[in-house]
Amino acid sequence: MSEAKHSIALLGNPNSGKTALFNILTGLNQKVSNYPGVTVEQTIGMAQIENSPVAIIDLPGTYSLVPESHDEAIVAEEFGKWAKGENTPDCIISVVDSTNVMRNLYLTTQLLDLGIPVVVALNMIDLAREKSIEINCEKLKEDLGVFSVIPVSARLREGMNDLKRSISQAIRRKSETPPIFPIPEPVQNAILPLQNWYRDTFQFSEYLSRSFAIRSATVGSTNGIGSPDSPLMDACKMDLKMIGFPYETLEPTLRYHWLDQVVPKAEIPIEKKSRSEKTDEILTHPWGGPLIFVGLLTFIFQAIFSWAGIPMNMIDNSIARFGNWVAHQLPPGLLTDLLVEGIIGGAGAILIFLPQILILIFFMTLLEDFGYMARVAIMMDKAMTKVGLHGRSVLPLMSGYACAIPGIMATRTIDSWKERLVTILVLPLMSCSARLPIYALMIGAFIPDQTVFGYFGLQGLTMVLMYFLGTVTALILSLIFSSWIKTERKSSFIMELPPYRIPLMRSVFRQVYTRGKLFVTDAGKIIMAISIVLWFLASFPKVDSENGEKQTIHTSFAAKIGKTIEPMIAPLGFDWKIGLGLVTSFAAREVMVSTLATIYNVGNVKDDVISLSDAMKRDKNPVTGKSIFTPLVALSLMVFYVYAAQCMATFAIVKRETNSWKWPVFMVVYMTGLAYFGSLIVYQGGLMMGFS
Amino acid sequence: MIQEILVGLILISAVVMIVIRFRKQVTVGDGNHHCDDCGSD
Repeated sequence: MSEAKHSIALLGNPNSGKTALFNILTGLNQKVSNYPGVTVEQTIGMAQIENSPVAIIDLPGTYSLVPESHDEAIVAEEFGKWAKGENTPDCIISVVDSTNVMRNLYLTTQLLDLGIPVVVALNMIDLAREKSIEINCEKLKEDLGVFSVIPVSARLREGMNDLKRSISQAIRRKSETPPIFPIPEPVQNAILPLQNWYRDTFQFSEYLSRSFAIRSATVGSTNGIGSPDSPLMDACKMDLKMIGFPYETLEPTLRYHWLDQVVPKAEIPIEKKSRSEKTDEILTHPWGGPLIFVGLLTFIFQAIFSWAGIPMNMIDNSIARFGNWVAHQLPPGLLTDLLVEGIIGGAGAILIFLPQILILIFFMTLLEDFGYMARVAIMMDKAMTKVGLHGRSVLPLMSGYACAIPGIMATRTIDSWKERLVTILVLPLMSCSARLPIYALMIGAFIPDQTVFGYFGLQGLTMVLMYFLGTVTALILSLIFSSWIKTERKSSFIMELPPYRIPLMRSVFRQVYTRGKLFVTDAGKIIMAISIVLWFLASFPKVDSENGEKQTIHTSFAAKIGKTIEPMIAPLGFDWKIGLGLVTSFAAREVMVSTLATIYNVGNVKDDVISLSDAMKRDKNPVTGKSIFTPLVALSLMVFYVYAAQCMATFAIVKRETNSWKWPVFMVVYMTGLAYFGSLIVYQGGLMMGFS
Repeated sequence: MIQEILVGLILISAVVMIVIRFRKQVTVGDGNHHCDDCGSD
């Protein structure tokens, strides 16, 4: 940022393709999706525009400068600062969805008030062409008074050079004479005292003062800067009332009236029967829609097991071979033990699940980019409204399927604090991708690979069941929490259904790569650090025993910790090894897998790296001689992890977003209680029904 | 002996890394919190 002489701001409606443009201009990898609300805070990136570095500020998507939610308020407040001359960008790129020009340009007309050059990027021009919408860019530029109107397609990377050239010219231009959109004279007279107040207080231009006067008369305040006293405001509202102008809708009325005159002259739409609408009738059908969704999920989860088999075996064999090679190359000793048992055998065990995670992310990204997830959100909205959750909670909850952290951050779009709090509290129940290694390990090892009802794989169905268990519990709990934490009003859910788009495979694979890299590097670091500490705890104290090293694991620090917990978790079917995993996995859920792998590797009498799945199947209780892991124990453990709050990062983000220890502690307590009793019911119920 | 020293260093680094990660995550950041009347804001 410091090396850039110029800065430009990227603004636009939600889902207008702003972030995609930002990524192309800066070469960064911000998450892009085919649903609104992906950007919830501002991001700054550097771009090379005509060989000079330019800082690009990506702000959350907003429909106007009158905010409806916290992320929209960020934009309004930033605009207020620019108006006062604080960090004002040299130029604004207003990203406009070409398929919905009228609504998108509303924000553009507000941005023009600043008096700095506004470049309109008419994004998704390819889709507009498909809909036979033609836009006369030159005419639009003249009538609107913007610096330029550039047709682009971020998806196809079309028009990027023209956009960069125009940005370069706009930066050099510095200031722009703002156009005057028509205001009836009686309205102008009514708002004049407010306009003068803004001009005198902030030394704004006449045009900017007039815009703020209109906004403050409409909504009673202006974000980011002060507002006139009540008597002045009341007098203005009274005057507007007297001339028969409802002040509550003053700004939208005036601006849309202007756009009504400008847009039809520039836009030549030819109505065509939309294929999207036809597809929506099927995919969002009250009964058919949910069935299709369940079918798709089952297919995806079955594919996770079927397709990932070969790469998983390859990784498994490679890790074992590498571990054995290291064991034979290095001289025997502590360091060799640490490398083979702790790092390669323990932390390496988690790498085996990378193909499954990548396949899940691939399908989820595909469905998002296709526009299907937005339809699922609409379908879920109906169910959520019935159980007390509200419209704007849908998308954050959907994000929770990938990871709770961005989901919790996305709750910033929820205007009502109490609705937001309920959403934050239930969101970690949505099964995130960190649970996948645990589900996959247990299902792969203990659920038979067979077909049920003719078509469905039992393994895939078990996985779907775990996801549904979390989702249904989240819905039920939101009903309970909503009655405790009384919400003052129900926020409306306004979501524009994005058109169906053929996903751009480059973007899908980039997302898969980014998430995979994050899993290996970010989660991998903490998994490795914990595996090292755990190896130490499982290897010491060294006890001289006639039976040799195998005795060490049962007298180790790790065993002592695990065996302290064991009495509490024995009713759930868990032994001390699982108990230790429950403790270590508070850092991240996947650590459960690496914990088991480390313990089994340290306990292994031979020098080779063992297969975790095989070791679990072979493990017997030394006293009873019965298997430690059975299908019932596996099911109990999976149910535990559906509910368990085992995630340090989620705890931290809830603390951060609620600015209180009370709510994260409450979340951990209720989720742990739910996990314990859920597992207890499954295990004890299973035993009573005759399962072992 | 060298192996023992190296293991000790790796172990200390791992513990430090876990502590740093934990501190970084629970440190109050610039969160976007907003509470109407629950007293936590």
